[in-house]
Amino acid sequence: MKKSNISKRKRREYLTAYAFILPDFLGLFVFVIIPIIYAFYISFFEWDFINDKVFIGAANYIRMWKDTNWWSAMLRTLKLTALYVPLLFGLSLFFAVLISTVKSRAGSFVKTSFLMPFAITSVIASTLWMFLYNEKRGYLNAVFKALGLSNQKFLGSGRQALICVIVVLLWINLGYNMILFLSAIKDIPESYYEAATLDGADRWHIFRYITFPLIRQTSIFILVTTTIASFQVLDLIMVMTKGGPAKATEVGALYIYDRSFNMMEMGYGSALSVFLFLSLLVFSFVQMRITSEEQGENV
Amino acid sequence: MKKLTALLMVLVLVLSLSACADKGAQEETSEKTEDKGSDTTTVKFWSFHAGGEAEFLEKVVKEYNDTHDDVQIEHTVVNQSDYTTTLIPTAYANGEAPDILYVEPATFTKYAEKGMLADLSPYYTDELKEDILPSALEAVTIDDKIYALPMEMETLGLFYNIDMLKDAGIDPPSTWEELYEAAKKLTTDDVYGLVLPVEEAAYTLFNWWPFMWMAGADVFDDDGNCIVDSKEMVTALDYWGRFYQEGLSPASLQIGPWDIGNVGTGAAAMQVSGTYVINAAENDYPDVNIGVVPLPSPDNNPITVAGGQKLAINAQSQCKDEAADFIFSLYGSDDITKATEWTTEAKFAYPARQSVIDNNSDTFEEGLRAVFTDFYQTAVPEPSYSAEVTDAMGKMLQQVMFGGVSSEEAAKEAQKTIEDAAKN
Amino acid sequence: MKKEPVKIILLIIFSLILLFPIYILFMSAFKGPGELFVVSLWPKSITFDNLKTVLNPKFLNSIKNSLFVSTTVTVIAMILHSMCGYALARLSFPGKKLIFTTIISTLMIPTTTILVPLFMVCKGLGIENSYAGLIIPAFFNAYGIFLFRQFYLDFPKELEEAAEVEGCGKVRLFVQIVLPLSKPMIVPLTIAFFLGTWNNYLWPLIINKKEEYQTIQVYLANMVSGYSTPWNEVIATAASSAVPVFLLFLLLQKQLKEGIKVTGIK
Repeated sequence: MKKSNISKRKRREYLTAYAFILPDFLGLFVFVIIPIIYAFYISFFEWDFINDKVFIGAANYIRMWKDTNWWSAMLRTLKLTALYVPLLFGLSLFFAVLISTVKSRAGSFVKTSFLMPFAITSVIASTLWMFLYNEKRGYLNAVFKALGLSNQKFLGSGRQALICVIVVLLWINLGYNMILFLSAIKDIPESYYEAATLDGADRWHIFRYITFPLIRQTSIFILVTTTIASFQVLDLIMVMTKGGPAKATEVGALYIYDRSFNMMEMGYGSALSVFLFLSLLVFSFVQMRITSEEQGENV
Repeated sequence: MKKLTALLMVLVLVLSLSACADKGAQEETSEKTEDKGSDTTTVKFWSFHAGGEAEFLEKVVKEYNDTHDDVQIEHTVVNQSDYTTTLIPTAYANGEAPDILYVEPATFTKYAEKGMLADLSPYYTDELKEDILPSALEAVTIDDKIYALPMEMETLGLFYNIDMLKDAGIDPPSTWEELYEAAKKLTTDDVYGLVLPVEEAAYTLFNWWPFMWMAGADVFDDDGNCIVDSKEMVTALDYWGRFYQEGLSPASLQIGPWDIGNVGTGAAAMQVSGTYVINAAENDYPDVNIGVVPLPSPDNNPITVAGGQKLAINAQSQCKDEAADFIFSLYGSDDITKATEWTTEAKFAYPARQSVIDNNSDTFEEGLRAVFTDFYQTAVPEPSYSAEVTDAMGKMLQQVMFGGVSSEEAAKEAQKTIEDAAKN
Repeated sequence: MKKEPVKIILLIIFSLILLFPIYILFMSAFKGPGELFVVSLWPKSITFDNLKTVLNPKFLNSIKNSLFVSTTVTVIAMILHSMCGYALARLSFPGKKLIFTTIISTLMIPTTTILVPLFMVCKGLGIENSYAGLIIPAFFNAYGIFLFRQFYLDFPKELEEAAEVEGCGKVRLFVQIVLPLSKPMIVPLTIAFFLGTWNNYLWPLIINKKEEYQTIQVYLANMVSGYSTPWNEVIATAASSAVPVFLLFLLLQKQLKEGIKVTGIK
């Protein structure tokens, strides 16, 4: 009697769950998964958008393997990820913790100011930052000059260009990710802190053993989505440098765009995308596995 | 919670308002289509122009639509940087491409070779073929088939700030040596000596070709052999690269390299740009004295390049005849009013037709235009290479300009890439 | 607490640094054509000419379109994704892991690659050149599902348990208890979806060629077309186009302050 009750309840839970998931899943299937499958399909073809597709087996993948330009572009993507993700993660967490301890009304001014750049489109942001990065008539070099530092070329320098792009990315996304952390921190019950303070724990311990573990899901989320986003940075670079100077900012996503649309090699571009997709997939799940194992729990 | 509810209500209000506005708009359009009946052929036409050029196009489309009941031109304005890179390929892939599109030398060969463009030879009258400048016609002909209708020839010159040069005691340069010395003298903490394009893009190559030719170099010889790896090419690369390496030209630009604002706003003393900025040089920067001279050359034998947009018809189009009727009525008819208006009023460019030049000799002698008219004879049509060649040449320039690679090495690498591509 | 002023000063200095580029944007909107590219903290002479050119029918129409599209996308995405995220975090059912993995994987494909097939799908559904084509594909983004799921994973179990004891069904539980308490996530996600849609450029550019449905980003990009760009007008338009979004921020600012205050409910 009781048993059937439980299974009945279970079945109802299943039904509710499927009903909750169905609309999103259907939409994703039609508007994302079908296009991905199509991209996978044409990665085995030579296709220039106009003429009939020609089946060429794995030739696109073999070509990718030998394409040194592609691997240098991917190396730049990895460089960008390695710099951008930890910086964004660290800074947004740092400021979130800092703001969460501020009781003054200034806190809400700070939050809104941090969030403001998020409202600026990458196209406008690039135009705007050109004012700052300009070599001869830029605001940054004006500041440098006042500080007695030498003039920098910024976007015109092969060494600095990628870093300049990362700074703009940070500027845009810092506030939003900080807000996400902040929301998570706010959900930690006050009583946890009170208990810890009574036990004489210092700030670092409170952060390390209370705050950080309790915002784990948000941390994983930010880590994974920022990594994904860093692999796909495109419009900012297209407006600011078009991959220059001398390919210094030609990242994987830009290379794919260039091959697919400029060179009109959609089959090859798709093969590159499939590779990027698979490497991100592995990367993200490893990331999630590691973070969850550290905590000894399931993701 | 109350605030959230209030917020939601505001959102719903905005939604319903917009929905109403939308309904209104939809009703209007549906009425319009009914009026014209079902026999109407709709010809899709995509342009990317701004300012006076856009006004001209809007006007001629309206005129055409008002005088034709059976054909209607559906004109869409998109932006230039996405036109050839994203929009055209995506639209072709989905059979949504416009019936009438613009092509330029940088894309012409690529599109024609892929069979995207319709053969327009049947629409050309013998008189028209005679009237169009031979080099312009040759540039759109492949194997005796004419794939586009040229309406303008845009050439490059050296624009400069007259006062800045005067103050520095410099005469407008005419040789390579003079240009280099002038750029060096005029470069200060606030001003660049000379603006040249910086990005790896078709526009950079458009600016580079005349410099390459003036050094006596070329991509292919007359037999079609790749000759990038030549002494002359190294000379040209050394000269071109020097401006960037020594900081006389910017390594990154705030506004487009074509934009006369570079000289107009005082960011630079000199700038290589084309006929297309003459109207802006005269109207947008009235306080700045802008002059123009032919591109300096090594031996006082200037060469310039002639590019420009051409109209083409989509090979997949279902209404090629109607599309052709429209574009030939603009730039290919016996009545040259529109062709004249385009190159003299809507913008300034050298016309592609001899009759337009002959009928408007006055206009082409006005102000800055006269300079271009004088050196027009030296213009070589912008070459149209395959995507692989364009890619290799673009990379070669970047390597020399910013990559710290020697001209010899960069030329060698480009030669190899082009030869390898030819083999496949 | 002694350190409070130090913290505040540090935060305010950093805020000002972040705000500086935005200040430049708005200040430059009032600069005359001659001084736009000159480094200065205040216009030599303030002009309203740039702003006068901004408010034309095409601009207003594109703002209206963007408002409509972004609002619709945000509202519907919130409903769909909170449901889906909740089910993935809190309900048990067969195939959960597979479904979650599939959904997350969709985040990882570069948008440029699916541009062409997505266009084909929309053409097949006949929604190109319409609001539907701008709106419907924008709902389906795993980002929202993922964030809601992570949020619900951390959600206090006690709340649900209490409700379940009272014999509350899962649907009612979600609507009456969970959803009202999801505000800390709904607010940032509203910002993310609204802005994501508002700022989207590539998709509206490709899917819609009709001027009546043009969005603000496409309008802005078209201004930069051609050989001589009226930069003063572009900057003024860019600044004006950011105003509605800043207003949304101010509207949501209060909401950002609050957490779910679990302790209070208990």
